[in-house]
Amino acid sequence: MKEKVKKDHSNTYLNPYFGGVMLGIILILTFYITGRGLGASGAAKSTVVTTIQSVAPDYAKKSPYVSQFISDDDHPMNNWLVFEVIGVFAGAFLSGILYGRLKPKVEHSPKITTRKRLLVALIGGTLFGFGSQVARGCTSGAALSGMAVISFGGIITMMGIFGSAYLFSWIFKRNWI
Amino acid sequence: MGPLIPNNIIPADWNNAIALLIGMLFGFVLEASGFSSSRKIMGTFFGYDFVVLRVFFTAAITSMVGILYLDYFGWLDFGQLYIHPTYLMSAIIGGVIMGAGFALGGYCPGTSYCAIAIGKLDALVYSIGLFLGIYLFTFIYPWIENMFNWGFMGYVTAPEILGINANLFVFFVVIIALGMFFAATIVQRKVKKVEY
Amino acid sequence: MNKKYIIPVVLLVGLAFILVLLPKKKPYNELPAKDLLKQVTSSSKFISPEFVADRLIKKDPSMILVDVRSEDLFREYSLPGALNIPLQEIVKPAQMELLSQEGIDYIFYSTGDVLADQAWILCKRQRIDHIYVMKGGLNEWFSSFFMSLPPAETASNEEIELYQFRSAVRQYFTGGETQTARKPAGEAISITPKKKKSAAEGGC
Repeated sequence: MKEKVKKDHSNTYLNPYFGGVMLGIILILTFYITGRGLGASGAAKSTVVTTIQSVAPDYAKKSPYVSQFISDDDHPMNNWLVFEVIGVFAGAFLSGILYGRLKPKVEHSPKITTRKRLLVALIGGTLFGFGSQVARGCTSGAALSGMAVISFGGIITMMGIFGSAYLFSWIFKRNWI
Repeated sequence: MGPLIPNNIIPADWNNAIALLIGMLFGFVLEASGFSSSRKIMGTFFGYDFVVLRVFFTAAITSMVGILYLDYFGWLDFGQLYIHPTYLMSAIIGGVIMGAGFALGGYCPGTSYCAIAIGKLDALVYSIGLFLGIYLFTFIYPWIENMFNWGFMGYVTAPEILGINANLFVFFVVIIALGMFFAATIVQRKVKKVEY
Repeated sequence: MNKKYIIPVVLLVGLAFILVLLPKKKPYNELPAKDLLKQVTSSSKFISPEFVADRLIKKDPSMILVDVRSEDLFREYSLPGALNIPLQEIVKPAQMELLSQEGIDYIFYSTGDVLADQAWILCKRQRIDHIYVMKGGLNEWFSSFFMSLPPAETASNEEIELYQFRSAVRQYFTGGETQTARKPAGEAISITPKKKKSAAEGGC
């Protein structure tokens, strides 16, 4: 019986330019079929709105922001972005299987502890979540899809994200390198 | 003539199913390109791995050029596409806050979903943070509502604002992007290698 | 810079460059055929002569009548305040510009409604809104107001009201004459052609 030695692909990735072209084609396809671009933070928002609605429906109705997303005849999760994000999970999972990258772990620089990494991730997520609502989009929705249709707001948000991220990553350099 | 669903060439009921399929493609390409690793993503900001720059801008210029061509040949009606609205103040402020979140968390929502799918716990915590951040926003919203809506310029494209031809603008973006890729390659060679 | 990237880069820059050089797309921007057909067969573009008369009497400034017949026919008789844009002229860009003005309803009329309908289709194709056709044209105008018979005793309330309205319109436009059958020349209808004495003006 032959012993098959599994080659470790977990560090192989697509050529970034190839990946970019694929992503570009996916974007074109998305716009061609649905007339809208991709998104990611919208699904998180829908989840939050749904949660608020079920846990504290009065607050949901009174809140000037949340009430915009609730309507009597449709569930906030019945939303294009939510389905798209479910697909994102599935697609990434498949890719993880293909490349053998499925492994529960906390990825962090050796210079910091796991606990610190998790704490910093939480703070980072909070900031990003807040910012995504302010800018009405995230890197996928505003920046990427915005650039695909040359949206002025999209380009401004993209420059804001990348510029600010460059600044702050050097301030918090210890977290990474 | 695209876009297909707004023109009823494909029934609108298919929208969610199509969203699912597109999401799968999106997630697969993201993960396969390495966007499920926060340290790989942050490489762009420290110079040891420019994958974010390369994938993001290649996707941007590919889609820009592609959409403009489709529009020129009459296969896609650019006027019917959803253009992200421009609210000047909130676009900048939101971008800056997101940048800070990016620098700390090492993910953006889309990549965090990919990372969760392959088991990264820090991505899971990050997305809990996302929910927290959005929840906080709903509290603070009444105070910042004015800023939030200030400077609405419409659903405009950049060439419209700058007053130049869209095709010319995209050409310049292509050139700038290629220049950035070239510079990135040089920088990456000079930067100290990082194990991740 | 890797040698293998040369071809894709040249391809991309080439495509982007060609995009710049492409001649300006003709903004033909016509209504797609399917939509046009749908609109053509809908009945919402028709306006009844009663409606036109009502707006004329009320001197509604937002309604303008467009007579699409020839200049000669227009000079012989036309509805009060009507513009004359013969069918052949309507297709000219200047006229299309005029008709796309916001806030005004343009109502085409002709002898029957065939010419007016054609004018309507030509304008609709250029995506002009707020255009309508007076149903039946001048034929209907005359038969409604100047040749309508009193309703029978057993007629419904609506019919009686309609008749009363039509009589009122007739009196308005003819200054109290009760004669019927005033038809401009060149009609296909059997009424003897007679030159109208004067353009109907407002007021009794």
